[in-house]
Amino acid sequence: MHILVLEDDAALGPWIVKGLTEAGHIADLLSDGRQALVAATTRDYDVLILDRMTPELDGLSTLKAIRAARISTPALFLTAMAEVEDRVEGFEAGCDDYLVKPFAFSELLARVGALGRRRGVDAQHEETKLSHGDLELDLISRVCKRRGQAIDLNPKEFQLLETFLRNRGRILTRTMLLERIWQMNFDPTTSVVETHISRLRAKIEKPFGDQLIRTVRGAGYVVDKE
Amino acid sequence: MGRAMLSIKNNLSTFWRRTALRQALALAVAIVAILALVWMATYFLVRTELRSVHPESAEEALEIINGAFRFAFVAIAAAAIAIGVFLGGRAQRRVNRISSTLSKVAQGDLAARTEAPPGGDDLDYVGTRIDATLNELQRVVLRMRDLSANVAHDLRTPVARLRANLEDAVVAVEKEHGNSGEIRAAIEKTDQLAAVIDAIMRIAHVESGARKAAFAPVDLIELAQAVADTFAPVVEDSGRHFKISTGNPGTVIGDRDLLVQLLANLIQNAIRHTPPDSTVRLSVDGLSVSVCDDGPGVPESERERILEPTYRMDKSRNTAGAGLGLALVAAVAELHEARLTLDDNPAGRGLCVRLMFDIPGSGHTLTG
Repeated sequence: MHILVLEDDAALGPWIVKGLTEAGHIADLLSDGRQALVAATTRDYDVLILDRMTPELDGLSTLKAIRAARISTPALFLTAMAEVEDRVEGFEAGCDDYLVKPFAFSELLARVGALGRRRGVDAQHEETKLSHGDLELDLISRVCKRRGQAIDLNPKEFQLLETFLRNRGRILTRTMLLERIWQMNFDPTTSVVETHISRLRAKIEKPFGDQLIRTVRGAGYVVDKE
Repeated sequence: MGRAMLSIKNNLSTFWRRTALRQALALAVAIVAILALVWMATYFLVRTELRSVHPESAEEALEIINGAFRFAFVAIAAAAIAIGVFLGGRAQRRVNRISSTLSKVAQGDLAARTEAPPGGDDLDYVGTRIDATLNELQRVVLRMRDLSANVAHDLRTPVARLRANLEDAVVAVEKEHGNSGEIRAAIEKTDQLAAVIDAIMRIAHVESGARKAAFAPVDLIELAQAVADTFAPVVEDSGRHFKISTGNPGTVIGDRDLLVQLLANLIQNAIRHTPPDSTVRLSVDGLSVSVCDDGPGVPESERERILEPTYRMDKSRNTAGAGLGLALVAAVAELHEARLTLDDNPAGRGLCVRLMFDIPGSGHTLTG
């Protein structure tokens, strides 16, 4: 993917670009908002990674201007501003994801990966059934079946499984799941995600003796593509 | 019957608390009283002075006086009361505008203004002074937001750089087939440091009251159910029992996300300070929410202090941010003007942390 990185920190900017390059992406690093606005409106990027506090033009105003120019490239704010109001401001300005510093590179990579393919997946929302191997998820009747056998899932477990199946092949990190399934923008420090995933596994994997959800060490969880 | 009387009494007492209306009416009553006095004085003067000199014309004069004053009395009394109510009502609306502006500001809407025109009367003057003060307040709050964004930046960016360096170090060491365990432990400590920064920043933010602007009705039973759905499995997997009990429904005006975090912190605290096989109970009844455990409890002398940010009763537990969890609970409770109490578990041993939202006169609660 072709990624624009707006980051004025002399240490973090190059580090992010290096990591993205190693992961097989092409990344352009810019350190002021005005340059980023010009670049984002003249070149075709797959994802924008924007810091909020940048010289010349701050990241928030930069993204607003990009969106005003009707450019809908998925954007992620990578910033030290962590309060709920800051997030709300970010999403109102048109960002698609929000990640607070400090961050694990694997977290950034997972989120960029999820954003990059977002453009093509909108058609999926029409689906009423999701299936994966011998597992079936009926999104209307909220029934989960494996090998024809109904599995009783509670609402959160169902939502968790649905999220995994909609994002097959993409790593979902702990914080991504906390935000998406539980709407928590704070770290509950207890093992909420681990606990719920292990309960889900006990229902959809254990009785069938195989593994659907794979743990990626230091990163998160993934349901691999078939 | 009793209820109707009570309602009239209440309406009267709120009416008498409205200064402008009260004064306008008092003025009208005074005008009417003066007029009545003038009427009486004229009547008696004419009667005593004229009657002895010219009795027939005296009777006639008295009739004329009575007729004229009767008409004037009714007309002036009606006019005085009408003008009083009109002027008083107008002044009252301006006073109400000032008071509603101030209560909006108290709720966190810093953009509210009285919009009183400059150069008017003293009420306008008060209004413009309030607007000028609010402009200044808003400016200071905005500058404080900039400042706190800068503090966040200055605290989190170095930690982000450090974490980046450590991640690079892990890769470098593992490339040489070395042991990266120590560096991974350092990364974990970095994350703990970040969690402490998050907690401190959040407490400061909650204490600033900025989040009041987004207050909305929160159904306490629904809230407790959602928290239970999320955390019951966590409590159970830690080898403890989780129970939820719900009583009467109750709705508060508040910040749902912060209330979830408050309950999450209390439950996490209960897990941390009780032995396995203990029971953690989340209860909601009306406007009271509590988290109780049957662990060792907290001695009464320590209870006040454990709500302070730096306090950690068990110094041997060096879990990052643990000492800040309860401080955030206290800050969130205060933001909601709720009373936070720590008691012995009425079921026997253990601690009960209770949150009561219905502080009389706070005016921020609704009963469901």
